[in-house]
Amino acid sequence: MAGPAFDPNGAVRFDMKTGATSDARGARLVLVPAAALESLERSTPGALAHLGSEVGRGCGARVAARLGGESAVRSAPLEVVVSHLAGELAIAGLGVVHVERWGRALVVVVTNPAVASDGFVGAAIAGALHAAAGREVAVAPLGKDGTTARYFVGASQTVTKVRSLVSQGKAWSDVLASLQEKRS
Amino acid sequence: MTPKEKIAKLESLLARIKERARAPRTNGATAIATAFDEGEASEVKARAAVEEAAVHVEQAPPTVAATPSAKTTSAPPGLVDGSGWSEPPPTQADGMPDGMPDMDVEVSAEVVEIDIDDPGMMPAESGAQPVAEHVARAEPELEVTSEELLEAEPAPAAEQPTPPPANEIVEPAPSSSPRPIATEAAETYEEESAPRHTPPPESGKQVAAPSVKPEPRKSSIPPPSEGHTLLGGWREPGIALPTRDEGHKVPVRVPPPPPPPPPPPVAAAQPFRPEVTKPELPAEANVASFEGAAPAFAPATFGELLDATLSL
Repeated sequence: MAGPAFDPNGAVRFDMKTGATSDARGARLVLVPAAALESLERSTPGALAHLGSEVGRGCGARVAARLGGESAVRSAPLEVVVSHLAGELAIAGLGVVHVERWGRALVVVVTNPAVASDGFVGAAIAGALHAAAGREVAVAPLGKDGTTARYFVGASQTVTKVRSLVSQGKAWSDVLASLQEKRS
Repeated sequence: MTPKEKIAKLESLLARIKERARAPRTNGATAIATAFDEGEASEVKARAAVEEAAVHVEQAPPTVAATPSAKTTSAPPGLVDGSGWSEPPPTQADGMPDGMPDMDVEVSAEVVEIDIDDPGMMPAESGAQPVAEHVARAEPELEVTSEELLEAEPAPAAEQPTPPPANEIVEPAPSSSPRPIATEAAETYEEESAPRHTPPPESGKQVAAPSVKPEPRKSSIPPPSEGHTLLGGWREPGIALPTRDEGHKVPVRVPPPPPPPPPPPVAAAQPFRPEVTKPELPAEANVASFEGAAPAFAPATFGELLDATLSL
């Protein structure tokens, strides 16, 4: 891997005297129970997605900081960026993240998510990518297979189309294949 | 005629009467015979009177009757004198030929009195026979047999025997005629109640004995279509149909009825199993052939992948 490896040491700092939890750069963190986030989903629809987006932006900003900025991130190898993003999201407690490439389509796979909310997880992925690479992206859930959830990353117009096809019961693989035909 | 001849004649007459009386005849004849037995006493009287007259004739000189009917023996038959005696018709023995000169004809003025009015006396050859007694004797038989029949059906009044008038002589029934009428009627009813023999079978119908297990009726094989006609008849195959020229209608041929559908297959008792036929395929073969190469997308940086996915 050509590039800095992800180093999780000192990513979270717990100051016992002041009672503050902060990241490596000193930004304060709040440990929130996952159940509280799910209750927020039931009480205030859309708030959890916004919260997830902010969690993801923080993760993406730290990756970009390590890798030397948004352009460095876009020029960095895929494996370096995926490693740093997955490291940051894991420290945040969202789950294990890896990336699948279906042709030209980018699919982010999240295993063992802390919050069983596609809005929350999807918004966190989109926020992380946006903050790391400096590109506005949209995410559409493709489906779940046990404790594994897949999310398609693309433009907002394409994401809307994928959402529509998946909600009609079409297999997510077929949906991704259809996207490739259109492109070719 | 001498007294002996007269006696002999009378005896012969008596013998004839007895012979007739003894002959098997009807009840009337029997009645006559019985009546004759009863009248034997009178006969004895008559015989005694004849013998007595013969004695007087022998004692007295012979006289010739001065009557014109000297050669006649008696009055004409059928006439009855005042004493009631009826002279029998002349016989061959009595009637002497006129050419016999030596024959003296003696006519006895004496009259033998024979009481023929006595009911027991046998009638002479006049033919009169008492029939009334026969009818009287037949009545009990009729009564005995008709009592049973009177309840069912009274005898017609026309068949009732009517007593003859007093001034008429009833002719006796022939020996073969008297038959008990009531007996016939009884037999008629007996025939109706109980037949004497088995009545003959009706002609034309013979009932066959029922078989133990009648065989199912098998439908015969339909004849070929050649013989069917709409007229409902059957024409022997091979015989030409009458043509229109002959003035007959040509029967329309009707196709024979279709054969009955085959019976449905009987459900097998075996379980429902498929018949498997396995193909014989080679173990290895180059089935797929590729032309060209799929466009490989190998982004070198994360930015290229991000641009590629955003370009979809």
